[in-house]
Amino acid sequence: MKFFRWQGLVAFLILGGLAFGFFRFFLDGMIESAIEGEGSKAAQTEIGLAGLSTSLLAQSLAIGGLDVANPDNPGENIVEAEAIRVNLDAVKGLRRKVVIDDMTVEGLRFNQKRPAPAKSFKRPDKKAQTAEPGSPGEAATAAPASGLSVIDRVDIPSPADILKKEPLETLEAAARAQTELERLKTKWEEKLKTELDPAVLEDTRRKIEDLKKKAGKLSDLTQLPAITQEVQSLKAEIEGHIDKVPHLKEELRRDVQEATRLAAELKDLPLKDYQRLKKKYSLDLAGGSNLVGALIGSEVKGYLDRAVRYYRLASPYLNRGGSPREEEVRYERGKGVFVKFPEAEPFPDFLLRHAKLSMNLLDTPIEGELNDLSDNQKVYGKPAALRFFSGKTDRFDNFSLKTRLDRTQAIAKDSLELAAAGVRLKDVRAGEGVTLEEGRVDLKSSIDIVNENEIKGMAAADFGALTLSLPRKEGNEIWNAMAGAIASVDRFSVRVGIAGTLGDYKLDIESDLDEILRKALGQAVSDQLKKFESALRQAIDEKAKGALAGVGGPLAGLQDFGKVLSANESSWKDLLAKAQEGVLPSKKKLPGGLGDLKLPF
Amino acid sequence: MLGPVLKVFKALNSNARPWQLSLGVVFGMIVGLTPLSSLHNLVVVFLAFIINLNIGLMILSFAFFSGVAYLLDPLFHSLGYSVLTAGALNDFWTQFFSCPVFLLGKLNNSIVMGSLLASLALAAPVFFLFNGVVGQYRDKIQGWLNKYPVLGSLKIVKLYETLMGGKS
Repeated sequence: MKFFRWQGLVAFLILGGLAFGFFRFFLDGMIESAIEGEGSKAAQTEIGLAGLSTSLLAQSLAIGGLDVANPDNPGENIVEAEAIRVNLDAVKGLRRKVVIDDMTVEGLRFNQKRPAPAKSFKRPDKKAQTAEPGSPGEAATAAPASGLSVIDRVDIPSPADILKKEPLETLEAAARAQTELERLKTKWEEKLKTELDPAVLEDTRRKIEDLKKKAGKLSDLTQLPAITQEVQSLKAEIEGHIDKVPHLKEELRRDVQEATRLAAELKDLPLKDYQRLKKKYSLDLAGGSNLVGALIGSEVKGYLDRAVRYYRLASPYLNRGGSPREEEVRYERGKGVFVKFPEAEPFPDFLLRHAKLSMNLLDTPIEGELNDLSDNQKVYGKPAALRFFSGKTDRFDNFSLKTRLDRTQAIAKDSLELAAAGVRLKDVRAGEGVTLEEGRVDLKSSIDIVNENEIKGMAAADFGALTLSLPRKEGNEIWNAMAGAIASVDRFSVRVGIAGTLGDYKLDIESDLDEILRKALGQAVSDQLKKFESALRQAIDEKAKGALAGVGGPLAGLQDFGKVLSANESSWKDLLAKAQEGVLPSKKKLPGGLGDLKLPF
Repeated sequence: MLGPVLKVFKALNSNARPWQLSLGVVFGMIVGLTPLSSLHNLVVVFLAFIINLNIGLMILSFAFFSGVAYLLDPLFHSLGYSVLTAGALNDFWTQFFSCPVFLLGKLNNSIVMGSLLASLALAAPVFFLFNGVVGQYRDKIQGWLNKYPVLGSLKIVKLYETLMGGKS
């Protein structure tokens, strides 16, 4: 019997061919459903493909249309692309690496309306339920009422209403001071009782009287040393008490000084409370409130928060290069564990060498390119760079956007530079009801992010040839004054500074428009504001009066302890004098001519 | 349940040489014990097509050892993981996996590696053991069956076919 059956080879080839044909026929569909299914799960948002075709010979893939839903708004696509073509490196594919040599993306659009709402792929986020501190956007919700929303409030709240919901620092500090003063008072009452007990004073006085009597009855010189001994001991005791007093006086002086300081601090607090509440509930036209900041701050912050969120989502994929065997994860039945080994020639698991992009911005196609996007820049050695550029079009004179994501060094450095000149604006909502009907703007912005956390940047916008409008509100003089002022503006500049961390950054918005708006508001609201501010001050003073008076009593009581100490000191001194002078008989009265003897004191 | 057993007897009673039957069992064991979608199984199946072994027995062996593999899955993982992470073999594996075909074959997976090593280690013993079993059957049991004309002519398989009302 033969060992080989060569007809088996034919059967194998036929079966193999059939399997390949089946696989080839369904490959496109399998990849498409994998991207839509697994991709949506990974991105936590719906990803849709209009069509996909592969070419094994050309090692390429073409996607007819791609849309990625906005995870925060199911009715919107965050990104859309009309066509994507990808040329893959198949040899690297054998090593389970995705290397795209060349890619073309056409018709990129952002934030487009979806024909039907997207399915939700979001995992429940515990952090979101418990309002993570320091998360972007928190500052915006916690910010006090300001800007146009304040102007819109015709009835400024009454000081009484404000004081019902706003705690006063004065009252809290007065309560603390009162507790401290009561503690000091109790301390000194205890101290006087234990250290300078009046009963001890009385007892000593009685002892002196007893000694006097004993000395008066002295008949024998042999008794003299004993009495002298007693007198000396009594004197030492009295001196001990007298010595204590200066120390106690010093301690009391320090306590009184501290109590006086606490009381003095309280005096300034009502003013502080007034200034704080005035800033929060009044319109500080002297410069405290930033009207342009209020006007566009939430819009700018909204855009930045969104950008930060996407940046955070993308960041982990740029820095996946770890040590080998990092995939040694928990064993799962039927799946096992993939062990990674160092590569002879290390190479990123994902690399996009070059992509040609075309996006639509303000209904204008803009060309761009993306180079060297990899998941392990330390190994690949090159940072990722994205660039969009355009010359003069109907909508702007020129446009340039440069982004660089650099993870090649130990410290990650990312940057974004944007410049757009002569951007024509039409019917743009600027926030808080203001519409920019027409105008032009020159934009410049640069943002740096270090270590994927520290953000620093600036943006400058110079608006010109403007027509602004803010709908008037009947019966609202303040609002209408503002509307009139806004309508009169034909040019202004805005400078935005960004600094902080991605979780907690601050926006510093300045504009020459502020002065115009302040003047308009100043005329309209100054009388109302003066009345409000005066009433607020009066209400705070009234409320704080009782609490401040409560502090005066314990302070005076503490000061009175000084008099008690002085009285006690003089009482002991009197006793000492008595003990020195009146206890032993005079030398003349000593029996047996002992008048020449020297007495112990 | 009876079908596979009868198929084994049918194979044993056929004219096939013992090595053909044993090799079928061994190849089926390798495919059955290791994850089916592994690249090395394509090689095994290719060999099964061109080597004159018993395909029926290979399929039976594959089905049987697939069940065994499920039970031994944690053992294969432990074996594969300890071999792949053994310090002494680190340089060897680094060189070995520099060839992309082995990575494509998922040999760096603990279960693939463990089950492949186990099945290769068992291949020779199973081959010779089954060879022995075939020899013993044909020498003693088949001869005994042939002594009784009724049984010999029916040969169990035919009995089964009769019971089932035709050819299985």
